[in-house]
Amino acid sequence: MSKLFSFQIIKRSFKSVWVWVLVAVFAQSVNYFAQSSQADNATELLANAFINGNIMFNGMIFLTLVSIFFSTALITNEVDRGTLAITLSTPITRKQILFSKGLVLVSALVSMNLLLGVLGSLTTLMFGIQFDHGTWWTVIALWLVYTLVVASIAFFIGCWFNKSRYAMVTIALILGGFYLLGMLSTIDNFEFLRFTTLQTLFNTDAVINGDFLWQFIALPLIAIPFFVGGAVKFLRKDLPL
Amino acid sequence: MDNTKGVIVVENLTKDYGNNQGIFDVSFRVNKGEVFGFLGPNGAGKTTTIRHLLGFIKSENGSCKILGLDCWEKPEEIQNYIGYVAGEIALPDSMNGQKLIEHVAKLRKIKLDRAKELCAYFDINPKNKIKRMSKGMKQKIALVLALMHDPEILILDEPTSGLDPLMQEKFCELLLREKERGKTIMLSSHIFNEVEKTCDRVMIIKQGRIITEVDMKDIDKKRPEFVVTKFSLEQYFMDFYKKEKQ
Ligand SMILES: Nc1ncnc2c1ncn2[C@@H]1O[C@H](COP(=O)(O)OP(=O)(O)OP(=O)(O)O)[C@@H](O)[C@H]1O
Ligand SMILES: [Mg+2]
Repeated sequence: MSKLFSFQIIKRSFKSVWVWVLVAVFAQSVNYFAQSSQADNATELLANAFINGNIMFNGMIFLTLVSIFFSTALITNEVDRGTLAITLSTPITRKQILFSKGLVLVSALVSMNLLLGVLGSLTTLMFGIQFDHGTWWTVIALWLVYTLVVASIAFFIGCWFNKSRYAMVTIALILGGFYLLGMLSTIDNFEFLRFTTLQTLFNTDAVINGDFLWQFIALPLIAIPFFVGGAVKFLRKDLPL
Repeated sequence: MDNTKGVIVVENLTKDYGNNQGIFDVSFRVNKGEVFGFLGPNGAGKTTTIRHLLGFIKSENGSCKILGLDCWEKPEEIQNYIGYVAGEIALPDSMNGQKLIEHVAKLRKIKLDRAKELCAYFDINPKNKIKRMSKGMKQKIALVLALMHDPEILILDEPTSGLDPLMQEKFCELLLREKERGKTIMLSSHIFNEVEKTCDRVMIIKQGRIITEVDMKDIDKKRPEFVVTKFSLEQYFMDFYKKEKQ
């Protein structure tokens, strides 16, 4: 364990992301409220809040922003500013830095989604929306896996770039691109576009129909190569420190 | 070059950044208890060489070893024995100096006794936020971070940049004391005065290639040749700096 993680790094890194967890949860709670009047049941609330809602209040947008901040704050910023040199001139290894920060990234996303699950279910109670525990937590779990995929892409890019500015722009272009393609694919003649966007894999209708296993298999299969690819790059690359 | 086992051994180190930039076929060794000066004009490749020693970058050719350990393969083991001051200091703005010192002490699993002594020696109040510190104050914090674990080897990339003359003086005194305690020191610098006071041996690098290596004792012998003895080293090396092509 101590070979892979450094408690001190975990502690420091957590300090740079917890604010963003709160910001995301707060924004998404506002989102629940905004969407609550239009939802007939809890799953619809989630679907609206996370993906179908209007452009201003949309989980996808927040997720994109949060992923940008998480992965750049954790990895790229330290390389860009050169502060990583301080850590690397102690007996801490690149591997420990990577695993510690990866752990912070994943646990930030897990706690964010747990909070979203709890707050969302409270919202359904408040507004008397029909609620089913099984479906609700399945959708939350699916959203969590989806956020991990998005985070893996952002992590990958964050590891490859040395300048946070470029990393941010690239992540925004890719994730924003998926979002745009997802929106376009809802227009009649552009339905084929749904095969080009990650968003297709966050399908709440499939959860309701009970046919959701494939999503839980496909999403991690996408995430793993990105996490591994980012890690390998970070372990091997020249650091401009 | 003598045959004693070098503490820092660099052999044919090459990193080509294109356009004739980078370092080419750099070889040298620093022996135990020696203060080794590393001189050269801007962009000569001093920092690039030092980055290899720290394991931040991987060489294209050649090798560098510290205490027999490969700098790219085993940086974490080497770090136990090194104190490093970066050429461009980057400290996390959001922390205060004290917190940063404590953070690094925890990473190194050491006590804060020596850090406190060093803060007193350099006359720093580490309680200030790093963001509001002057360049010299940040430099002093970096010196404390590099020295607080009392390392066997010091790798210093322009350690006195930003320090006032009084502090530069104090730093030289500290270096000499560390040398007396048997520490091995590699010092990259543009300040001849400081090099002259502390170094046993000096190497010049220019355009990524080592030009010359001199024993300071030999310079002392050459002294009478110069009219102004005070800046003898400077005069001696200026010739090398100015030469168009080696
Ligand atoms: N990551 C990089 N990519 C491309 N070129 C680089 C890179 N790092 C350094 N260089 C080039 O390599 C050369 C050596 O730079 P280096 O920083 O080692 O010089 P230096 O001797 O430390 O100079 P100074 O006295 O100014 O600190 C320079 O020409 C620099 O532009
Ligand atoms: Mg330099």
